[in-house]
Amino acid sequence: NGHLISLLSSQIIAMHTINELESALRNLDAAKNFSFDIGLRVIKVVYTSRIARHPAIVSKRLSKEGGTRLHCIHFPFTDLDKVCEYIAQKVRNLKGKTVQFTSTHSDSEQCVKTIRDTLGVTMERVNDMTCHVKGTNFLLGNILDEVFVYEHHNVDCRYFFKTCLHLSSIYPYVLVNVGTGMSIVRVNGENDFKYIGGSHCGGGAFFGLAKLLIGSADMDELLLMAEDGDHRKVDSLVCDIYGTNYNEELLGLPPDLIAGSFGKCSNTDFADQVKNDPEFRKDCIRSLLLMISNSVGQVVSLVVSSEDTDRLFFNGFMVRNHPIIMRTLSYAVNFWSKGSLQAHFLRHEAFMAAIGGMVLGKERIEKQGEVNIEKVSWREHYAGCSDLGRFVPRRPTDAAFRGEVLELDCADILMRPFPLLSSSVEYDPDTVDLNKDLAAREFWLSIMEDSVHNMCKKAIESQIDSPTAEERAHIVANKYLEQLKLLRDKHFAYGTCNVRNLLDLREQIFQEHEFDDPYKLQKKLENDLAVRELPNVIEALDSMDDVRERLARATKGLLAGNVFDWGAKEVVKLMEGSDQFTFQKAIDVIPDRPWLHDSLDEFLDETLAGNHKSIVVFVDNSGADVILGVLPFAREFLKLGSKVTIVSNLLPALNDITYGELLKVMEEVSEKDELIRRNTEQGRLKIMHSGQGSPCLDLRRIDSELCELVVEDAVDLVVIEGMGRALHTNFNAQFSVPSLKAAVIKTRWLADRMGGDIFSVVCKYEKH
Amino acid sequence: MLEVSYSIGGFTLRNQGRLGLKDEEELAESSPSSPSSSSSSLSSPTTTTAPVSIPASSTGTVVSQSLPYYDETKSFTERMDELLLSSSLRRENTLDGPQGDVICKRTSSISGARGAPFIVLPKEERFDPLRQKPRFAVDIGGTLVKLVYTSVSPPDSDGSTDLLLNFRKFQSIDHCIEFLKSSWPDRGSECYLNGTGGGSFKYAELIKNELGVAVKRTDEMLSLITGCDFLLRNNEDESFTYHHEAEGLERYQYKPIEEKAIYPFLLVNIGTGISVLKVDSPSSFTRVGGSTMGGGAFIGLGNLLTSARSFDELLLLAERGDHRQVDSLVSDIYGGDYNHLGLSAEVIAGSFGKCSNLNVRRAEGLAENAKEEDVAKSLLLMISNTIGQMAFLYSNRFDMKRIYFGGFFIRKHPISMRTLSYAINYWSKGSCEALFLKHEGYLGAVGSFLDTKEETK
Repeated sequence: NGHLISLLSSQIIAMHTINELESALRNLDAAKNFSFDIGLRVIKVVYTSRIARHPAIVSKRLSKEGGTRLHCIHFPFTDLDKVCEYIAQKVRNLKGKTVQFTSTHSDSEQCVKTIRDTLGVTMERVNDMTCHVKGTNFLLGNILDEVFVYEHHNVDCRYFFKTCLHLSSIYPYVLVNVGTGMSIVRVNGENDFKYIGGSHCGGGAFFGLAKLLIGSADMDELLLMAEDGDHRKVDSLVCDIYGTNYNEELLGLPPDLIAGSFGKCSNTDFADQVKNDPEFRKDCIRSLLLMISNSVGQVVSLVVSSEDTDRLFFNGFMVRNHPIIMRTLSYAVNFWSKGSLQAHFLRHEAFMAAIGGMVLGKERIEKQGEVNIEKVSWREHYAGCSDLGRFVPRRPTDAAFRGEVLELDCADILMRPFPLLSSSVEYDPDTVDLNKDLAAREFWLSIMEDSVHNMCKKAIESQIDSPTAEERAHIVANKYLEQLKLLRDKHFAYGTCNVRNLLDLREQIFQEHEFDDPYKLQKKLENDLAVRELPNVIEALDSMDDVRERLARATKGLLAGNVFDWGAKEVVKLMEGSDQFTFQKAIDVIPDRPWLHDSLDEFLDETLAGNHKSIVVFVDNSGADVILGVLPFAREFLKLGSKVTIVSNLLPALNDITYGELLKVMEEVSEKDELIRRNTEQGRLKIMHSGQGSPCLDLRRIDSELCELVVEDAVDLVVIEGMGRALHTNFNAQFSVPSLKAAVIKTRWLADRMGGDIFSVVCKYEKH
Repeated sequence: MLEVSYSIGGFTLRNQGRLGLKDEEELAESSPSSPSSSSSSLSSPTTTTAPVSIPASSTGTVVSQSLPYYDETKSFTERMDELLLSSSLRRENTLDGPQGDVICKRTSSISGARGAPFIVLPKEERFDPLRQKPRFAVDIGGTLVKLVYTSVSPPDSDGSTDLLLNFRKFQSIDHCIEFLKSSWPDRGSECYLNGTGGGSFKYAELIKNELGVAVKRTDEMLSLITGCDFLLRNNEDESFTYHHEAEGLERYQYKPIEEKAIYPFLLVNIGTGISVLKVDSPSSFTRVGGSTMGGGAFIGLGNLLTSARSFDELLLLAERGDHRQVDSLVSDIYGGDYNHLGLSAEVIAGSFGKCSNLNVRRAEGLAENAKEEDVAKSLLLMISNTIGQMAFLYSNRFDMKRIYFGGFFIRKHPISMRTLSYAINYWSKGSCEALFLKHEGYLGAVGSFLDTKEETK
C-alpha cells in the first residue's frame, strides 16, 4: 500500500518547464482582466485574451478586432513565483492595472505581495461570497452540462449531467461551499443573495484531524485510505449498541448504521491499540470522512429544508473532483432530507471565485467597446482545455492538482433558448445520450476515429499553399484521436457524451490549428454548381399546375438535397465515384412512399389550409442541399404568401453552409430569380444565422436576434432539415408551433437503429 | 499523576479532595442573596442546607459504610452530578415566565437525611400503597446502574410525612445488588424489580438468583419519556438553563413551566451518538433525527489524539485548552471581522484549520506544535457546536420552543453545558435556550418506576 501511495504521489507534477507554463498560460500577449483566487494549496488565475477572428464570420455585430477568450488556470501554490514571472514577462501594459483577488488562505498576504510586486499591479480584494455567486451564475449560464449529480450505484454512468443555461428558471438556488469551513448561501437573483447558515466543521477539520491522527494531510493519500478503510472497525454501529436483541422495526434504523463515529475508540484499551497499529489508520480516515460529510450533509439538509428550493449546489476544495466525498455527501443529503434534496456539483466550480472576481472587476471599470462579460454568451473551448479543466473525474488516488486549464470562447452575442420550444427547461437537444448507450458510444467513437483522416485530407487540400498544412493536419489527427481514446475510457469528460459534442470537438481542434474551414473550396465549388443548376429545378416546379403536387415535389426535393453530405461516409463514396452525382440522381435515391416516418400528407393538408403563414427553416449543407433543396421549398411558401426565414450556421462546420456563404449565394440567386429577389427586398424572405458553428443544432442557445425575430414574425412552422439537426439532435424536440423534421438517413448504423434502410426518409410533421 | 484543579460554580474541587469549607461559605452566601429564592414562596425552604449534606463525613447518615455514597474515588463529574442533584436551583428572575400558574404540588429535589438526593412524590392515590411497601426500579446501562426507590420521610413537627423518591447510581450491578439486599429487607417472591436498559435483559437471571425477585421490564424509550414527563410535571426545578457568566450555583437557573406548556419539546440525547426525539405527549414521540458525531466521537478522537484516559480527563484538558491555536478563525482568513456576513474576527471559520498544515509556505508546521489541551478544546467545540446547531435546526423545523439535552456527554458537566448553551444561543440568535434536566440520568429509571402494569409473563 505504501508503495502504491508513493508511486501515485510522484504523479503530482508541478509546472516545471517553460513548455508547461506555455501550454497552460496561453495567449498572454494581449491578456487583461486578471483575477486571482488564492486557495489553500492551489491558486486560480483568470484572464481574457484576444484571438484572431475567424475569416469566414460575417456579422455587423461582431468586433473587428477579433474574438475574446477566457482563460482559467489553476496551478499548485508552490508555482506562484514561476507563474507570476512568466505573466510579467509576457503581458504588455500590465503595470499599474488593478487585479482582483479573493482568498481563503490564512497566509494570503505573502501571495498578494508576490503578485503585486512581480506584476507591478494594484491588488484589490473583492468579497468572496459575491464572487462565488457571480462565478456560479457565469458557469451555469454559459456551460452546457455544467451541473451534475453523482450516482454511485448507476452502472452506466455515475455522473448525471444537467444544463441550467436559463438562469431565471433556477432561482432561487442554494450554494454550499465546503472549504476550511462550510457556508450556505441562498441566491435569489443576479445580485441578490443571503448567507443562511454555515459550520466550522468542514474540510479543515478533515485535513486537520487527519494530520493529527496519522501525520499526513496529503489529499491523495487520505482519500485512497478512506476508499480502502473500514469505518466499522472504529465506529459504534447501531447493532453494537443494541446488541443482538435489537429490534429494527422499533427504531427504524438499520443495524449497520453508524450510531457513533469513533465510538469503539472511547474504550481506552482499544484506542491504544488503534494508535499503535498502522493497520487502523485507513479505518480512522474513513470514519473521519464519513463523520464530517454526514455532518455537512445533515446541516445543509436541515438549513435548506426551510427554503423553498430543491436546487442545491456544492462547491469548494473539499468536494472538488473527489468521487468518494461526492458519494458520501450525496448520500448524506439524500438520507437526511428523506430523498427530497439532491446534491448537485459543478464541473468547473474550481474557477468560480476567480471568474466571479473578474466579473466584479470588469463591472467597476465598464469601458466602452469592451465586452460586458455577463451580457454575452460564452462557450466551452474544448480544444484548449486540459483533462481536469474540462472535468475528467478521477479516482481519489490521482486527484493531482497540476496546472489545469479551462478555456471559454466569447460568442460576442447573447444566446437565448429558442422561444418556440414548448419547454426550454425540459428540452434536451440530443437524441442519444452516449453516456448511457454503450453500443451507440462505441459506434460513434469508431466513426469519428475513421473520419479524421478523410477530414485531414480535405483540410490539407484547403490550404494547399501552406507549407505547414500537412504537419498541422497530422497534429490535429493525433490530438483528436487522443481525445477519443480518453472518451472511450472517461466518456463523461465533456459532460454528457453525444454526437453533437464529438463533432464540435473535432471542429474546434481543426480551428485551433489554423484550419479555419477545411471544406471552404469544396463548398464554393458545390455552391457554384448548384446555383447554375437552380433555374432548371425552379422551372420544373413552376411548370406544375397542381399546388399540392408542387409542394409535395418541393418537399421531396428538400429531402433529395439532403442526400448531398460530406459528413456521411456512404454519400462520400457516391460523390467521389467516377460518375457525376447529380440532383436528379439524388431524387432517384429517395425511396417510394410510405417513408420511414411519413406525415407528408398531414403537412400538405395543414399548409394548404393556410396554417403556415410564417416559417423558419434551419438549413444544413452547402451546395445542392440548401440551393436546390431548401430554396425551391422556400419559394413554394413564398408563392403561398407566407414569410420565410432561412437560418444557417454562423461559424463553419464540415460542409454546412455559413451565414457569410449563404448571403453570397442569395445575392447570386436574386439575380437569376425574380421571385426570390422581390421577396428579399420586401423583407418576406430573410437570411439569419443561429449563432452556432456545429453540424448539429442546440436550441438552448440561439442568437437572441433570431429569437426576437421568430416572435415578431409570429412564426407558425419550424422546419429542421438534415441528420445532424433533425435526427442526432431535435428528433424528439417539442415545439409550441407545428414542426417539420426532414432528413435522409445516410449511415447504415442509424438506419438499422431506426428500423429502416440506408437512404430511408424521415419526414416527421407534428402539429404540437 | 495529573494534578488538576477545577473551578466551577464557585466550588474549587480537586480530584483528590472534596468540598472545602470556603466553598460552603460561598454557597451559603450566594443562596439568600438570590432575589427570586428569597421572594418566591415556591422555592424550597431547604435551599441553604442542600449542598452541605453531600460529603459523607459531615451531616447525615451514610447507608452503608462499605459502599459509601460519597466516594473519594469518584470522578469529578460524578461528584458534580450528585452535587447538582442535591441542590435546589435558583429560580430565574424572569418577567415573562408563567409564574402565577405554577402548581403548588410541585416540590423541589433536595438531599435527604439518608444522604441520597430525592424528590417528594406528589400526594396521589396511586402512590399511597408505597408508604407500606417500597418500590424499586433500575435502569441498567452499559457503564452505570441507576436506581430509584421510595422511602417515607421522618415526621415533620406536625407529624406529617412525605413519600420520597430517592436517586442512586452504582458503578456496577454487583454494587446495586448489595445495596438492594440491605435496603430492601421485606422483599418476597411475589415482589418484582422494575427494570429498563440493556442490562435488564442481561442481568435478570442474576437478580432473580441474588435477590429472589423477578425483573419487570419496561420499554426503554417509553420509560425515558414517561420519566421525563413525570419529573417535568412534578419537580419544580427539574429543567434548568446554564449561565456561565454567573457565580456558584447561580449558574444553574430554573424557570417553572406551566404543565400544559410542557409539550411539545425536543429531547436531544447525546450518548455515543446523538438521537433527536420530538416529544408531543407522554405517550407519543418520534425520532426525528440523529448524528454520528456525539460523545463517542469526542472520547474516541480524544483518546486517539491526547493522553487523557477518561472522559473527565478529556474535559479537564479541554477546559485548559485554547482552540485558537488549532482552529482557523475568521480573522486568520480575513484579517479581521468578516463584516459582509456579520462574522466577528473571533468566530471559528474552520475547526482544526491550522492543523492540516496545508500551507506549504509556512515553515514552522503548526500541526507538530499542537498541544493536546488545545486539541481537546477544539474537539469539544467542534462537536458541541455542531450538536447545538443541529438541535436548533430541528427545533426550528418542527417549531419547538424548548430543547432538552441529555446523555452522558452533558451529564452535568459545566463545560459541555456551556458550549451547548452558547451554540444554541448563537444559532438561534438568542431566541432559544438550551435546557437541561436535573435528573437527566434517571429518566429511564423513573419511567420504569412509574410503570404499574401487571407483568405479562
